[in-house]
Amino acid sequence: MSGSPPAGRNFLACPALTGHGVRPEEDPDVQLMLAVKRDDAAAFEALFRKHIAPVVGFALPFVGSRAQAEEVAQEAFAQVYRTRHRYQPHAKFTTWLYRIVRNLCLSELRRAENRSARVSVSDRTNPEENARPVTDQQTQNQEDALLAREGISRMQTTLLKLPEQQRSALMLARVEGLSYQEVAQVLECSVSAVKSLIHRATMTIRDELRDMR
Amino acid sequence: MWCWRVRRDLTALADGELSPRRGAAVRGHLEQCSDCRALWQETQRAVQLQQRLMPGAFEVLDLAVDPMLREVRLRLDDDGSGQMRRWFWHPAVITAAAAVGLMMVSVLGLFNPLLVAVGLEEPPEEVAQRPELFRDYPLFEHLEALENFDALQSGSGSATGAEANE
Repeated sequence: MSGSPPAGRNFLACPALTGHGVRPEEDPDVQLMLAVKRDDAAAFEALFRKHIAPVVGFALPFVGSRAQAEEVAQEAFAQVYRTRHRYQPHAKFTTWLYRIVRNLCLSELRRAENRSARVSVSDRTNPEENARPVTDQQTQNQEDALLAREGISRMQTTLLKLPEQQRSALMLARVEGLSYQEVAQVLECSVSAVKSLIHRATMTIRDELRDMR
Repeated sequence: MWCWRVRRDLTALADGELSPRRGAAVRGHLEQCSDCRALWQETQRAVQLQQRLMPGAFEVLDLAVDPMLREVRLRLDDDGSGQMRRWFWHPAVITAAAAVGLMMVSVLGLFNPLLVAVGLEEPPEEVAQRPELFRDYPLFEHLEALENFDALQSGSGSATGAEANE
């Protein structure tokens, strides 16, 4: 694990990975993005279809409603297309994409705070709407499915209580599967800071869900 | 090795994010320290629980992908026309367009009657031969009379602007 900090504010030119992450040239999304750079509309559509759902899911805890999360995701992809000619494949495509998404989420959050329209945690998302059993329902009995649903719901509530940076770092690492170095590139901080953020978030969730196994 | 230094690395160890050297040092300590070993097992369980439950926590189902894609394309189209509008109203573009327009009007000679009427250009030779036909006309009648010079000239010397119009 390299301790070198990521590039500064220039999110279009992330440093090449030196850790165990996928190298840019091995990332199929980078190849698609290079095609988008050549104005290939089909490649843009392919990237959109592949990433739109995870991006909406990532934005959801920030903005609070599904409609707003979809709005942020659409704007993120519009930005991807607008800035396609400046894209440099120095890192995984998702590190670039999620940096755009996170910046848009933070802007949205700031606007919401300015409006003083923050709603309570329980109102921000609807667990019934978004949660699903983790395991295949056909092979589980109803009790297991209910327990899994409850677990997801509690996880959701706990995640919403985390500070923004901790939640972002944890979701990028656990849900999107980014390495610590890639998370550092998205959050524009050092790898050791990411290590600390994820550790603290993990400990908080461990304490909150201590009774679950 | 101090326990607190090991404990803050346990999550990274569970995520496979420690360097091989650091990972070996932490594992070595865990073999010797039962407190840290207990914490390590707890951390591993916590990480596994998160890996199992977190993907479902904010997973979005039934996303209307096609309408969303259409909306993005519409936005990008709007950007294009918006840029065109902004480009068109740029002062330099307006100035250049005005200059080209003036040049065209000048080249086509559309200014000539006006320049003659205001005295900035000599009138045509025909007008010089019969200046009395135009002398008393105000500007716009003067222009009209110039257009109908032949009719005026072929008429009587006392022809008026009204007769010229007829």
